[in-house]
Amino acid sequence: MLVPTGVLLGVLVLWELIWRVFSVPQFVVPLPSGILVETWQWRGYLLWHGWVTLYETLGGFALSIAVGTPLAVMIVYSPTLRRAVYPLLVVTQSVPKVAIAPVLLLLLGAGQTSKIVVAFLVAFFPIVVDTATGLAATPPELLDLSRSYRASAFKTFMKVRFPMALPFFFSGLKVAVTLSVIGAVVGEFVGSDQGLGYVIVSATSYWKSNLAFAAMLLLAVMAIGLFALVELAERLVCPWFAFSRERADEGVRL
Amino acid sequence: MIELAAVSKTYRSRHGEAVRAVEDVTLDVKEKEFVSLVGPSGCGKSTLLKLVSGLTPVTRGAIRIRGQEVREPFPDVGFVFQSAVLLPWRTVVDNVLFSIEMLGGSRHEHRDRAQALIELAGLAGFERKYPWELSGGMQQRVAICRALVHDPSILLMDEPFGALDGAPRPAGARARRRAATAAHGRHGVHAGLQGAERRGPEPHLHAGEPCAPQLRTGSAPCWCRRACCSACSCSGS
Repeated sequence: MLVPTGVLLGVLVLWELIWRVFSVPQFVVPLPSGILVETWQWRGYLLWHGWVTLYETLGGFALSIAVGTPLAVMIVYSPTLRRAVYPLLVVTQSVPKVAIAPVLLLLLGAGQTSKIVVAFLVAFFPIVVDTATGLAATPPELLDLSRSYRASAFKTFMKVRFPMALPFFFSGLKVAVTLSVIGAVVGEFVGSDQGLGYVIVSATSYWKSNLAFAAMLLLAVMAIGLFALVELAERLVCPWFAFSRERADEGVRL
Repeated sequence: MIELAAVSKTYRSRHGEAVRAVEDVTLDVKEKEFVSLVGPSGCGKSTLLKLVSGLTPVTRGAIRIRGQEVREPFPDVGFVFQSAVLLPWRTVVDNVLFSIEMLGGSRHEHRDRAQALIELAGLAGFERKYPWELSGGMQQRVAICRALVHDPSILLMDEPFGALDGAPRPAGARARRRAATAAHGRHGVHAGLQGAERRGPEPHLHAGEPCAPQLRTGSAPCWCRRACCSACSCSGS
């Protein structure tokens, strides 16, 4: 933790120094100190728009869990559905979301719903893929065991397959939550009068790059915070996995 | 008690060709008998266990248990696999009681039995530990308890002591042969539990020919130290 913090501080100091020595115009790329001052001055404004983006992000994230998880279960349990749905999923993923966003805005209006849907479309795919991979990775011995006890498919799912897939599910969530932030901002870029995406677009069009950078800073903090929350949830829900990973890490660490 | 009459199993491989996994095995296992299947890997030992447990249907022949033909999986069987495959989110005692839960029995009524088995396996004091806090051998003993907690009359063990014995053999020696064990009866169960400490399951069968597990029942413990014994877990000489 100490080393990356030091490197980051070093880069910021270097940035500040070079800018001051060569007197780069502030509206091109602002100074780190200028960004911090700007963030503080506009804190109420930024927090309000940040709240809007957070709401859209969480909405999209929740929707992608609600849709992605059952979809993964269906794909794993039904070969017919897998054949029917999987190619469609891949198609939806191969169309760039930035290209879909304007169409969605036409369909759903410029309100928050369209941003939530864009965030959902960006985020649900890793949840589906990772959860499906986890469900398919159940040790065959455990499935044999369940079968020999004549346990129902539902019981086997609840007591064996789903808990076994939880670490995969969470790695899908970690990717999805950061993608949700991107989705929400993309939605705001395309057409919105609120949210941090809107702040960045409007600030840059008025050459207020300090404010644009402040919004980016807040977005980064938000994405990191959400990621950390998912990681915390993972630790609480499947501590055995966090433990085995720490053990693996110890081997890597010097 | 377990009767195999000319049992054959043919798989269809992905390329559509037939793979004979087990061919024409006839065997009669009596109550409280402990039988080991010995043969090189890929000769159909595991398949035979799956057939006996009803997890896989036979292609030809018939398997009868107490005179009843096996057509589907039945719960009167305990399974131990090569690796422990415990559930990492459950403690030792909860892993043992997993069998009871899956069978729809009452956890409460089986708690004492689970505890007794855990003590028998030398795991007293580890009841509340998680699998990742145990060694590989201890995990395997938990798996054996899990296979016994519902008091099955047949215990099927597929190379269960792989994690327990691990005696290194000289490199370049005969390909290490692995043993799949089918045991049944409470007596056999016991022998299985302690077999690890006593170097090899006691009544012992041998085989050598590749591609068809050969079976021979015997009553003498395998203390012989002949070349053929490289097949079993006792260190023969």
